[in-house]
Formats: sequence, C-alpha cells, structure tokens
Amino acid sequence: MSLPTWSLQALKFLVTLWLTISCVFVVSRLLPNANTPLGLADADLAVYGLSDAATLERVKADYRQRRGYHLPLFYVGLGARGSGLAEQLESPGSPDYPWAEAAVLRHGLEPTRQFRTQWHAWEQQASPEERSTLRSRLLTWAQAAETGQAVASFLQESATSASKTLLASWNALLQKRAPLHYHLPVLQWHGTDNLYHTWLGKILQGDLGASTLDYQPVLSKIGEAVGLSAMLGCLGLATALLVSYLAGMHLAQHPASLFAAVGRHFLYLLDSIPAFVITLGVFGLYLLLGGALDSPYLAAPGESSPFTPSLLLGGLCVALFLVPHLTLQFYGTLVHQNSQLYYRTALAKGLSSATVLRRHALPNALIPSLTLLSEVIIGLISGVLVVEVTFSLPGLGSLLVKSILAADYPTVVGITLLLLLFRLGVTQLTDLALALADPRIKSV
Amino acid sequence: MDIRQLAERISGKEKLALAWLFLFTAAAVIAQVQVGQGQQLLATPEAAYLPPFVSMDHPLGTDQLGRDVFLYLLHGCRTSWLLAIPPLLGATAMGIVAGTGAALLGNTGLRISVTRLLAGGMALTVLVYLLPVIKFWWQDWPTYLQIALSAAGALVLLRLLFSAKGPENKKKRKEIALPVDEALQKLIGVWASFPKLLLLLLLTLFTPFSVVSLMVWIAVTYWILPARVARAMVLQLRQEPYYETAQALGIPFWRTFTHYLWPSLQGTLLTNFCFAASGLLGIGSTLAYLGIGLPADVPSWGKMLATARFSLEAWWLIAFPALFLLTSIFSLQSLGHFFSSTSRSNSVTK
Repeated sequence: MSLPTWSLQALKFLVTLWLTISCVFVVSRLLPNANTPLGLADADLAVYGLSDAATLERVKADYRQRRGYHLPLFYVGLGARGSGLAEQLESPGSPDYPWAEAAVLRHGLEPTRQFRTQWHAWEQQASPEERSTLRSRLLTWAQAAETGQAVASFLQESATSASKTLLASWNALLQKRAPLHYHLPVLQWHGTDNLYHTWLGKILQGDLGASTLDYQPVLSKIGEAVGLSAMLGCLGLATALLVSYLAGMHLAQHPASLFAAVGRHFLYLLDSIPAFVITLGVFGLYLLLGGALDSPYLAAPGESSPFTPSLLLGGLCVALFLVPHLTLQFYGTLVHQNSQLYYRTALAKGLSSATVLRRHALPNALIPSLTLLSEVIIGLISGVLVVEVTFSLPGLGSLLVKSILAADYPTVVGITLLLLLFRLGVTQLTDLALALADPRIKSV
Repeated sequence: MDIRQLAERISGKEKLALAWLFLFTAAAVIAQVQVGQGQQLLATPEAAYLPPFVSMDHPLGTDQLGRDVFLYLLHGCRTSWLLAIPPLLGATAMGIVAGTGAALLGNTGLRISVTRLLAGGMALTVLVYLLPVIKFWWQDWPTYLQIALSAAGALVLLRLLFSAKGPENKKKRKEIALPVDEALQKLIGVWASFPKLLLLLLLTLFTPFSVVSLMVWIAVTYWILPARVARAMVLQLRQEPYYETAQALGIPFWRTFTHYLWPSLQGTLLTNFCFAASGLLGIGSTLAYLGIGLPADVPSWGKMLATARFSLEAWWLIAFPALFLLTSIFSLQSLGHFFSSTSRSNSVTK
C-alpha cells in the first residue's frame, strides 16, 4: 500500500474515533439524573431534614459546580432572549437569578424590575428566616410553573406595610404576560469553556473523571479490573481455538462416523444453552465434586499465583461458550470447500483426503474464519461478564454490572468507551489481516 | 404455507415441543390472572428449603424464603413470556417495515425535488426557531388541542415534502434521491456494534427498572435481524417475474405486499422468530440472573438460579428452573428447525 492510502486510512480511523467518543458524550448527557448526585432522585428524599425544591436545587447546583457540569454543553448554544434580559437585573450566579429569569420569561421585564425593587426594600426589614422562606418559595415557583399561590399566601400572613406593597407588586407581576419575542432563541457563543471541550481534553489526557460511588479515578478502577478480564478472555479464547481447530478438522475428516454425528448434535445443543446456565453448571459440578474455590493449589505455599481455580474454571466456561459456534462455523466453511473445483483437482492428482484438507482446504477456510474470529472476540465480553459475576471475580464485567446497579455513570461511560475502542481496534486489525491474507481484497 | 400441509409433516418431537409451548403460554396466562387479582407469592420463612416431592402443599419444594417453587416458576413463566413474545412481535414488525422499505425504495426509490427539499428545510428551521414561542403561547390551552395542532402541522409539512404532484409538474425538475437503503445499513452497522446483552445492559440505564421498559428495550435491540432477513428476501423477490408483473399491472402496494411478498417472507420470518425467541428466553433470564432490568418483586427463573448458587445443597432450586428454561429453549429451537426445513422446501426462490 502506498503512503496516500495509508494516510487516508489513518485519517478515516481518527474521524471514526472522534465520532465514537463524541457520540458517547452526547448519549452520556442524555442519561437520567446525569446532573444530580447519587440518590437525589429517590422518592422519599430529604436533605438535612428538608425536602423543598429550593434546598434540593441548591444541593444539585453545588454538585454541578463541583463536577463542572454547570458549564454550557457545547461551543455554541441556544438561549431565550428573555434570559439575556434577566441578566440585566440579576447576575447569573446570584441565588435570586433563577426566579428573576422565570419571572421575566413568563411576565415580562418591566413588572419583574418593579417587583425586584420592592423585594429589595422588603429584604431590608424582614428577618433572615422570612427572607429564606420567601426565597425558597419563589425558587419553587420558578422551577415548577405553579400559580404563585404559595408566595402570595406567605405575604398575606405577615402584616407589615412592606409585605403589603410586595404582595401588590407580586399580584401585578402575575397579571402581566411577557411579550412572545422573549422566547425567541438566540445563538450564543460560549467559547472553549464548555463541557464538551473540557471532557474531550480530559479524555485525551487519560482522565475519565471520578466514580460517583467511591470517588476513585475511573481509569484506575478500570486498570485494576481489565487485567483479570483480559486473562480470562485470552485463556478461554486460546482453549476454544485449539479445541475448535481439532474438532473441526476431525469432523471434516470423518463426517460419517458415529462420533462425529453425536459430536455435532452435542455442539448444537451446547450452542443453544444460555451462557449463565453453563457457568452455573460448571460452578455447581465443581463444588459438588468436592472442589474448593479458595485454594490456589497451583502455587507453592507462601506465594500467590494469578491462576486461581476460579480463573481456570472461568476460562473453561468461556471456552465452552465459544467452542460450539467456532467449531460449527469452521466445519461449515471446510465442508463448503469440498464442492470447489480445486479440491476435486487435488483429489484427482492422487493426494490423500487428509492432505487435501490440510494443504488445500484449510487455507481457504481460514479466511472466513478470520471475520468470524473478530466477531467472537468482540462478543467475548458478554461471556466474560457472566463468568465474572458467577465466580465473583473482580474484572471488567462485574465492575460494569456493579456500576450499572449503582448508577455510577462515569465508570459505565469509561467502560463503554474502552469497549468501543477495543471493538474499533479489532475491526481495523481484522481488515488489515484480511488484506494481508487474501490478496483478492484490494479495497483496504 | 397451509396449516393442513404443516400438520401432515409434523413429527413426534415437534408435537412435544408444541405441547410444551402451549403449557408454557397457559402457565403465563394463569400467572397473569393471579397477578391481576393481586395475588402474590407468600414467603413463609419457617418452611424454607423444603425438598421436593415430600409435601403435597409444595410439590416442588420451597426456596430460601419458603415460597412455593412451583408457583414461583409459574410466575417466572409469565415474566419469560412477556420478555420474549411481545417484544419480538414488535421487533419483527419494525424489522419488516424497515427491511421491506429499504429493499423496495433502495438508494434511488425515494426522490424529492430540490425546491421542495429546500422549502421543507426552511419550514422546519423556522418551526424549530419558533418552537419556544409557540410553547409559551399555547401553554394555557388544553392538551388535546395542542396535540391535535401539532399533528396537523406535521401532516402539512409531510404533505408539502412528499405530495405526488407539485405545482411545477410540467417543467423538468431537479431531483435528488434519498438513500434509504444506505441509511438503514449504516444504522444497523451502528446498532450491531455491541453484543446484544451489553447493549441491553446499557439501555436499561435510561429508564427505571420495570418489565414494560425492558420489553421496549428488547424490541429496540432485536429489530435488526428481522430487518436484515426481510431486506435480503425482498431484494431477491423483486427480481422475480411475478413481482414485475404485479408492478406492471398497477396493483396497489398493500395488495402487492400481502399477496406477492408476504407468502414468501412468512416462512423465513417464522423461523427467525422461533430462534430469536429461544435466544430471548436466555437473554431475559441472564438479565434477571445479573439482577439488572427487572424490579425486585418480579419473579424470574434467572433470579431463582442467581440466589440458588449460594446454596447448592438445595439442588431443586437449580434443577427445576434450569429444566423449565432449557425445555422452553429447546422446544423453540426444534420448531425453528422444523419451520426452516418446510419453508425451504416450499420457497419459490429456494
């Protein structure tokens, strides 16, 4: 391949990479409660004994600030015209900004300005408790499009003159209706200080954020888990490849024998049993036959070996998931070669059927098997996941399940990114290997 | 495919499979009636871990909370049925629509004039721009009026884009083709980039755990294979002379579909349905086994197997749910093999 082709390939790969990462970002922002701390969506929630909307909003705002989620989502964004007008009254950081913005958007700038003047006059003479109560009611009103009855009834209860004027101006505010053009969207330029930019920059530096569960860096959590999963996967895959190769060759050499017929039926049967039932069967049989999971008997006493019984059994299970599919497909492609002309020619030249199979059919059967292999490797993680959960192995799969159950989004996003990158790498390598193995494929 | 013809070919194995699936469905219906009446599985901790075949009250024994295993498995039938059959029906319908549409329209079948595309694009942009204003404007109106107005607006927009005769009909129009087939292939490529189990695990994050949301996610995950099958079949069928005849005769699309395409599609889709359903029984149980997707109070075979792995001495907590699960899976598989062999011998395209 020439240099331009190579650079074009590399460029294509980079664009795919960028698209993948950006898609993960968009989807991760769509997760429910992506902007709230853990547990804040629970039905029976109370923070410090309080459960009003304003308190919850304060907790959420604090969380967003700490996590950097308060930044605008993208370089450009759409904002309502009215929000820009509200910024003339209140700076966006102030605690009164949310209700001022809602009031401007719903009832117009002028009445809101008048109400705000009265509010400042009232604030001078009110006690701190009154002030915080009214503010929290205003914030509730701003959040949940209510009629404003809660604010009015609070003001009616206190009898001071400032309250009365404030009530009058509140009612005047509610009477008015904002002009329609306040709701026209306006394009806003946020610059590089946005969530997407910072997120992408951190990812490029290898920072995936911190888990919401235990505040550990996600990257170190994944790093601890990935080794075990890789070992499990490689162990299972290597065993499965060896067994499938031998079994496929045997089935193709003796297609009519009783053993082959029984074997094929057994493989079909094994192929349709769900992975977790196989794992559970291996697990149960091993324990019932007197095995123990906590004795690393392969290691000399005093030193710990990575090859614990759990890992070996897990590898066996992964191999059992893969062997039927791999063997049957490999056998199918081998049999398919039987009808090819070159096969018959080789037989006619007087070669034994075993030699023809090995020297002529096998190289041709390996090329479709390469595509199959890449699919199997990509699908490996779901088998590994089931094994890890059953044997309580601290790998990537059990980490994913744990994070999903705990709604630990940063970890889930990190693992998803890793798996997508893994998939991208495997497909690229397969394309490359196919191009090297089969000169007929020139498109790569 | 004729029912009578099928009945002649059916053998003992398939009869057994059909009988089991019938019992499975009946159990699901019974459990649904019981759930509808508000009956729940009673936990009696003092009767926990009763072995099977010793008590008349609990023929299959009790589990770690003293719940009757037989009743639990019956309710598990309902969950498995709900997680396999309705989502798969929905997925197959989606797949047929997408696959047939992509195959018939191809990359050049759906043409649209440039002026109209520009006009439609402009209208859409203006609509999106005005959307917040409209929302504020009609916020006090009743909901049905809002829905009716939006539907009318969408219809007008679609009519503007896709109506058969345009005002500039006489002139030579500039047209561009919408690549429907390519779009579907791209979508399938993206959707199939993850193993199904993993995709389901991630999708469950977007909704609270419940049977209905899991059903929706399963349907959304499983439409790919029916779409591929329908697309491949229709691509083949549209080359056949009888389909071209139907086109030349001007038979309306719906009748072409039901009388010319569907008879050849149904066998393959039925086969695919059986195999996918057997796979889905496994996937539904796997999700329950992992503890993801189903709420805590919904009984499932996978959950029983998950808790049973901590108490292997109670062999009946593994043996019976596994037996139910595997029998259902093998029944569906044998039916799938049966349908695939009959549809292959009946097919016009072979």
